[in-house]
Amino acid sequence: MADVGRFALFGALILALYAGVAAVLGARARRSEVVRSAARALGAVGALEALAAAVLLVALGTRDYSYPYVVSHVSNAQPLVYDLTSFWGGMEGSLLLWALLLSAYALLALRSVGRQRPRLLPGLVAVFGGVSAFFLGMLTFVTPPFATTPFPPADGRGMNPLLLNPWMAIHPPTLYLGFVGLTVPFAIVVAQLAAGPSADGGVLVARRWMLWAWYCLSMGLMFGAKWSYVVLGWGGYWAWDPVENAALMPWLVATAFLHSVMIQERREMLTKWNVVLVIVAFGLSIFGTFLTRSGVLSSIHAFTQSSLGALFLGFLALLLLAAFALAAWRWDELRSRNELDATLSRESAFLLNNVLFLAVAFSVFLGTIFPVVSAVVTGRAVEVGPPFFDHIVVPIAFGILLLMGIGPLIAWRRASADALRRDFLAPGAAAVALGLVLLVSGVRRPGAVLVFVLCGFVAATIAIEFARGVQVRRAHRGENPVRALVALVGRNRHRYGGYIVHLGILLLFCGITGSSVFASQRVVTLAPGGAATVGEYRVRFDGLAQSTRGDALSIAANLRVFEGARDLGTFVARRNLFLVGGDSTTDVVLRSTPRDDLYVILAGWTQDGQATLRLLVNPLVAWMWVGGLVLTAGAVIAMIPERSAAPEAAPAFGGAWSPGGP
Amino acid sequence: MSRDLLVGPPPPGGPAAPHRRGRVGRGARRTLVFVGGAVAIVLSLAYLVYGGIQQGATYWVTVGELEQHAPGTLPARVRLGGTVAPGTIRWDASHRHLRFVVTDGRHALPVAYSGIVPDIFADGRQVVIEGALDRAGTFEATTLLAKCPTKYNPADPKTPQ
Repeated sequence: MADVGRFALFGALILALYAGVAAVLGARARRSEVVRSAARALGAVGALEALAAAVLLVALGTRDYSYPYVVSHVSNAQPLVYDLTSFWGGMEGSLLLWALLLSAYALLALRSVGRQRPRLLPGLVAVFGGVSAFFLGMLTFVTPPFATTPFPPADGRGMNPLLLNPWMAIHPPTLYLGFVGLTVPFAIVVAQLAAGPSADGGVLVARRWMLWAWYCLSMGLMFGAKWSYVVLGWGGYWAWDPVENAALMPWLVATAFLHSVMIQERREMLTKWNVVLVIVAFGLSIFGTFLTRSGVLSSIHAFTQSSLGALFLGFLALLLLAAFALAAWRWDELRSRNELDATLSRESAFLLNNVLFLAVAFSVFLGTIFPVVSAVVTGRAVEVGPPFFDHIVVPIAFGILLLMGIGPLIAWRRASADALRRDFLAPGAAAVALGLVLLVSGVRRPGAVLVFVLCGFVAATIAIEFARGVQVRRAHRGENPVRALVALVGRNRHRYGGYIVHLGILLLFCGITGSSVFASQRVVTLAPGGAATVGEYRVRFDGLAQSTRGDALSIAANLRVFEGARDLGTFVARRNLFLVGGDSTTDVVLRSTPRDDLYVILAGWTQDGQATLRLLVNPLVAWMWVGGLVLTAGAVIAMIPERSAAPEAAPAFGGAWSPGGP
Repeated sequence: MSRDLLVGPPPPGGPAAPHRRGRVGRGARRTLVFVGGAVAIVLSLAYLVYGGIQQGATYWVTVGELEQHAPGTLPARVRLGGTVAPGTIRWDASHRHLRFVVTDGRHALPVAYSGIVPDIFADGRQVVIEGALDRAGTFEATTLLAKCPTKYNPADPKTPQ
């Protein structure tokens, strides 16, 4: 079986190389049958990768310990579902997942984009073939998943118990769907550049794929935060860890692109800028894979030391060089049809939004690679921690939040002072009123008040947008409000889906602000019967209990929680000490309400039955997860293709895309 | 912005006729505004980055460097990477305060720490600690991070830790 896997990967490598080369040569020789054969080769690459993945899955599922990869991630005691999810628990498997997802994306993209726009086909095939060949080369020569050992052990080592969690099972594949998904817009844009600018509207076609990749990255970040919060037992969800940053950077650039592409759609501006954003986003996705897999930075996840790093960097440099050279070659043909008319206009608001997103992305990049850069420059590694990121990102986030409110209402091309006054009077008043209410009710932290006021402002502008749209439909067609709302959203999915995503982001902002500004915590050592208060809660310690759970010794602190006079029942904070390997896991008490989360960690205990507890109250955290759901709803609405039914909107790009954004 | 150009509300987003260089001076003024804006943005970002580095930067040192450095040559707060010397982990009675010895293979340094201990902290694990040396030569750590053990991703069991 190992040979089947190895040969499948090797065959896939040969075919991917063939696809890349044949696509380029076929396009140059104008022989479409060669290009079509290259496209078919990509299908075969996908099939062979699927075969290799099946071999690996079978090996994991049957606990075939002749593979070191299985030994490392599987053990007899481990639940079968985690045996299977350990497919992406290690480097070899996750690179195979990368390659497999890439082939799936490639086939989808060739079906939809390649059929409608045959001029883009050679470029698409060349990019997909080239990127696949790189990953297959790694899988064949550097990190072969199908290495075998002649003397298989009787049991494997299994995964770290911290990873045995549903959130961790879905976090990596979701993130990878996003990372790999960024290849498609890149391939489309490169294909468009190679074919020459035309009515194909490459960047606008790329938008839908970018939206999908952006959504997957959002969810991947969200799942990672949830895992960190629920499992790691430190009471937080985001630590500016390099691995988190690796996914955040392409997300930020993709966000910038999704905004600036609207300007291109409506005004045919920023065309060069959008091409650059697509290339940078893809570069950051490769860079992110490099960060997580090369061990260049010491981090909780990035630990693997191997020659992979140099190969990844070389590949990244080659890709960026080629893509930017291509863009430079077509630079003059990418000229925008229009220019910015006025400083006060929706175009400039969007431009500023882009600048702010890129500023955040740049700062995160700088902070992430700071140890490496400083080691090279000064000979001593200097690390910047969370204070660095907070210091830079928080003020910029205020600006982004403000623009989020201004963007939807400000006029295209040129906003007059009168119109601005008229449009922003109501939301501005609502925001000020909210600020006063907060101040009166005792919320005095300036940063938090500012965030909530800005969130109120943005929410008010969104509400006004919805209300106006509904009103127009009711006036024209006499529909009832609910019907009018559904029809409004259905007819302008990009626009209103976008607004719903904004609402989700507002909830996220509120959750982050609440939990970072108003969190309270204390560490107490209690004897049985003793109690401590934190926030509104009183936690009573009712004694320790010891038990064995599987192959772990479990120390449990029995707790009873009261809120004022109300008895909220019993809770158990646990620490599991694994007998083999010295690992331990924490089962925290987490009682979540819309107002706040009570979070209790068993930090320590003594022989005479005392327990040391860390008690936290994190306000508004639940709204972050709700924000993720709202964001999903908005993204799904925006991703459903719009029917070009609106007769009033003239297609801007030869039918390539139906405009419908704001 | 020139006032003479505000002739009614422009059609929102219709296919606009490109009207470049409409009036002499307008282009120059607009360029000035945008160059000024760009400079302002770059300067403020640079200012933020500078402030962030002032607040967040910590030096990485090894145990040996910390042991041998001349007083005053290193900043007070440093980040230290090393391995937990096996058998040196001592908790106080309440399991709140922790003492252990961190080593780089040749040099060793006692560490005191009170706070959240990561689940993966154990004998022989790689740790990153942040803090400062006290007078007695103990490293008073304020943060303790444990690097993931090989079990997270055991590429090669033969590799020495």
